[in-house]
Amino acid sequence: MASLKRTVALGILFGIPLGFLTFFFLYPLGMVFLRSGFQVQEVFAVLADDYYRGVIWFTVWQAAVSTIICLLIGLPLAYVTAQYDFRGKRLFRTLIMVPFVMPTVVMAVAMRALFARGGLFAGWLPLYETVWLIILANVLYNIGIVVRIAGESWERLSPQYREVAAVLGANHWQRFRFVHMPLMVPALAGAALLIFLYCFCSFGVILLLGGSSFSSIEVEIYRQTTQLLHMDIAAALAFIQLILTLFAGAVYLFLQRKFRWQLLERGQNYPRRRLSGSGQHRLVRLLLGIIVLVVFLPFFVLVFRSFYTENGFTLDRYAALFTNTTGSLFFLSPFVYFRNSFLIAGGAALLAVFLAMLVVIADISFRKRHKAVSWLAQSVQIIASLPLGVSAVVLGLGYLLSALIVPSPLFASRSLIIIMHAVIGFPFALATLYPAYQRIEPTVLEAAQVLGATSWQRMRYVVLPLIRQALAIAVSYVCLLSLGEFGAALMVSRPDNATLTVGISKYLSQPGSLNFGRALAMSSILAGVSFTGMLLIERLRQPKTYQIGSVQHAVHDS
Amino acid sequence: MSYVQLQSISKAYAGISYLDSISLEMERGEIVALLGPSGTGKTTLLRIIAGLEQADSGRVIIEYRDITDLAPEKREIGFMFQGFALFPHLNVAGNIAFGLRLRHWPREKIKERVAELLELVHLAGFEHRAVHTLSAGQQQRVAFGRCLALSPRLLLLDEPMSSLDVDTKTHLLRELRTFIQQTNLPAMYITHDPEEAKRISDRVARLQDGRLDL
Repeated sequence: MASLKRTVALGILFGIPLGFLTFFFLYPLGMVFLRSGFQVQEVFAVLADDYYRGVIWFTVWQAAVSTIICLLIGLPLAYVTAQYDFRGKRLFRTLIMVPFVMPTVVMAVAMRALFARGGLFAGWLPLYETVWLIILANVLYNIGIVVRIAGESWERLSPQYREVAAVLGANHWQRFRFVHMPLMVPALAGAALLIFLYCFCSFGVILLLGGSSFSSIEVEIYRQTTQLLHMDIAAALAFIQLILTLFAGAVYLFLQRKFRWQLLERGQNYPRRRLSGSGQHRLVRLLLGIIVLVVFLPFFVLVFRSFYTENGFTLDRYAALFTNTTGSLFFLSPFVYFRNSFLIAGGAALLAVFLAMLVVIADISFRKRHKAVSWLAQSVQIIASLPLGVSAVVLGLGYLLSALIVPSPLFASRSLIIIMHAVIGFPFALATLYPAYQRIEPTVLEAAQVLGATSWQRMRYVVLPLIRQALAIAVSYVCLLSLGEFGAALMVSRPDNATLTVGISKYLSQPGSLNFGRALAMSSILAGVSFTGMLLIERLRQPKTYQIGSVQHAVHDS
Repeated sequence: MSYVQLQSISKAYAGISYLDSISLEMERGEIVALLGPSGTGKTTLLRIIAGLEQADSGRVIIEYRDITDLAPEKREIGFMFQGFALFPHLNVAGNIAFGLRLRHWPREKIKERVAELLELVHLAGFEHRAVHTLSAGQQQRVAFGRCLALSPRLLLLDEPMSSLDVDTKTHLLRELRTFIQQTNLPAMYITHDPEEAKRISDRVARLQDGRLDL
């Protein structure tokens, strides 16, 4: 009886997330594959066409150039922050990541505010509607990844390698070139792949900044789907994109395998290098300050211009959000966009975190008893991580193709976007909750069990309080992802369920300074929300220490 | 005048004196074990001799030359770290040849020197092996070979056996002592194990409360 109960529990715990992913991720993705797979000639036709070949080449080229520039600028920053201790380091690391959490639409509006006609730099830096503006946006976006990923693993690397090299006669440059660089290959490859994939699947930036001159695979899929109704070409492009993404992933795995070393880590008591003298301190702070200013400039200008018009400082642009100046029948109050976005973000976060919790509980509660459980949990994790490699636009295309075959009321409501965002946020929720759950000492749960706690009570009174912080991080993270998500929402939204990002892009595409003003105001609010959310997550990430007996524990959530 | 001289070396952290006017003399071919519990400043003293840390005061003289103000890469010292710190991206030969390549030795001479050192540490034929495939004892020998490649004037060994089990340690200690004796270089060996100190060294010096008890 007990074993039947366990099997049912296990079935529910794994069945719900697996069913969800199968129906809302694998099935739509399968539809894209089927569409392109059944019409192989379409894939070859796309590859044979000069125009589409140009689009594919441009997508790869801009992603590769952006990645290289990010690495070139990011590496010295990562090195300084990893190797030296100085005041303001933590703040710098937080600030450099801010653009990364900004929605692409906000970045696009900010870039327009800087470089388009009437912008701060429009006169003397004619980048608008050139490829360089796209690359600049990509670099500003992703430079934080190098500083964060490469910098943090660099920081963990034992200084002994550097010291051995020094004792063996290596000068500063030689230590960097012959010791640090090769040892950092896995971390750098990780950062480079992530940046490449982000730029490769870049949608909002290229759609909104590239004008009619530049089109990436992502943008082309969108145009072919929604403007030209060429579903077959869109599916073929999506197929090609998936193959290229898989290829990039395979290169990454190869590098990770080839360079998988057991590295010595920095011991806790190892002396850290400090910048010597106030001169060095000042120089480093000045340089890092300039970097932060450059990275933040577009957002400063965005907020500034949302308040500043030819008539001076005013709230007109914010007031315009509530007025239907043209008397348009289709005017949708921006309030609706806000309401939609926040409802969708909340719903997606709760759904993604709920599903992730089911997987975590199932894996950890049953792993010891059944070997198959750990196999199941791994499969769910693998399936759950797949959305990371599938762009939101391709997912959106899959949903559209599925809806064409299986008409359902779900596909016409706000719930559809909630589900899509939950699919996109699920891997992040899982990656946050898993380690937090694993850090709970098994003896703590056993102690609760001996004291008479049932499995539900152990969950309610021990596990949940201990992973509260990770839960909060997961919810906030998925909320932020959903609020900023653009591609999927644009593909499937209708006027009544459109999100903030879709609303902003609509205003951007309409002529007139009033509409641009509205886009500025909405983007500023969204930027503010994203910035606050990110600070909240950073705060939640800070380790807390607590004392039990004479042992001090540090609690790191995620 | 002795071959190696440490003259009144002092070092304090946050107002606490870890090394209080440490003086020590060593002769060529002599192995001195520096014994003391963890956290007494043994490693700090070694790092000061190697130039990886600066002393608050005092001088380091090796082969009658004051090297106190030289950068670590110019001191010509062989340093064996805890855990060996072998470069995982280089094979056995690459690790041993690291310092030689930096000094732009000709390829043939590097090959000869590496072969000679591998012979010395009984690892001939292991040139192309990845270091992570070696046993702890073999890794130790590679680390020792790497130390010797540039013909240093002093060997510093910072608890190289700390992570090994007792049996392996006993065997390797004997081997290491033989290797060091073959080089006829002065060597300073750090440990917190009195038995280990006795087995490896000619002389044991105890470091306690910042003072050296010879």
